[in-house]
Amino acid sequence: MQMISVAEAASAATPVIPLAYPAPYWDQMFNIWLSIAVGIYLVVAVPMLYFLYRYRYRKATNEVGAVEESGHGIEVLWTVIPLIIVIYLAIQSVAFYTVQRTPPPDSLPVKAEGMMWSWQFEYPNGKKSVSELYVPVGKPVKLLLTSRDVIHAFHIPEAKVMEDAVPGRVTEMWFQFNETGQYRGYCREFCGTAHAYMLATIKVVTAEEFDQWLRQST
Amino acid sequence: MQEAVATPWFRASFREWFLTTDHKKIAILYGLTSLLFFVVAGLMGIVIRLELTQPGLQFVSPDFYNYLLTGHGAVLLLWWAIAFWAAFTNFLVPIMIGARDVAFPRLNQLSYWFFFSASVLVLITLIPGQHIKMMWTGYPPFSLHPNAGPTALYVLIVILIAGSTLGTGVNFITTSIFSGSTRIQRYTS
Repeated sequence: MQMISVAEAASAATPVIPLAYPAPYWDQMFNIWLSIAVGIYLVVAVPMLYFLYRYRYRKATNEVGAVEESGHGIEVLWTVIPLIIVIYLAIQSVAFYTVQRTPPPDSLPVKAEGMMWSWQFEYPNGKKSVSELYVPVGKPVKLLLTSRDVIHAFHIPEAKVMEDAVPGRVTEMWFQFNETGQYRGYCREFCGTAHAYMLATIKVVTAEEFDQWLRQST
Repeated sequence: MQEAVATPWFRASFREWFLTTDHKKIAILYGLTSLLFFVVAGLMGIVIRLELTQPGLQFVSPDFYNYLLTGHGAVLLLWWAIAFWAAFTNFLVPIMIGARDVAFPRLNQLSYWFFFSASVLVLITLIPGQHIKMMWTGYPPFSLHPNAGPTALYVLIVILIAGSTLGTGVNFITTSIFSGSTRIQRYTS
């Protein structure tokens, strides 16, 4: 339920429904980090440029720099302020991370197995498909990744998700497409000669089409 | 240990270069080896970029492309990023701290020749059939797959480089702490 509230908050901030989740969460997180980083940069760089000009070298007036004896107050200040910023960033990052990495409870589980050099998908009813991942639109999908031979990784650029597929282990990732169409899944862990061609087509179809496809030829 | 004043590097014979324990000569050997392999990695990088000018394959096979990626990464990392500083460190640190040479000149020599052995071994991977294709990280289990090329050779190369950098590291920590001139130490600390 917490998932949906964050999703609603995201869609409220941006009037259009995003193409795929969890991409907007990463964007929000990136924007927070970017604004704080730019703020810190300006706080450091602007006074630095001013001081460079204000205390520039002039013959006979300031050939030797002055030694300032600073008190404890300013040191406490420049320790406590960054500490607060770092604690804030840590807490909000963990919160975002949890949402981005925890599949929603109603998500459709699909097993994905990587092998040299293709992907095989298996649906809850036992239906299998090779290199083609059918998903219903507007519904979260949980991929349970593993590998038959060496380490692979499944990556969907539109949804900004990537997860390693490790032999002997099952790893999880989730995504949700909000528009029908064809997208691409890539292998993102170097795995040999045809690594570059180890692609999967993600076919996002309507719920009815998906159910129809799932019942076919099982 | 050479007690007499060594011939300056610009007038030394081949034999002196080969058997040298002088930090400046070793520094120049490091620099030259490193620059040579920088050029090799650069050529590999140019072929990679040439191949990437258009989608699909034009100039190289997929396996050779993977070899170029691995070679480019491994050579730039192990022969340039790790080794080129050794040239400057060997040349400058003893001068800067006022030492006659590094603390263990023979260890320094050994470090360089470990590095040189790795440099010779890596040229073997240029032979067809000996291409290393597991990327410089060499993740198992892919590195154990026949598709990855001669992993044992690559591991041997990396171990030689590791021995070399470990020796140099120990040498320069010792040098910086114990071999400096007392006059310079008094001035700087």
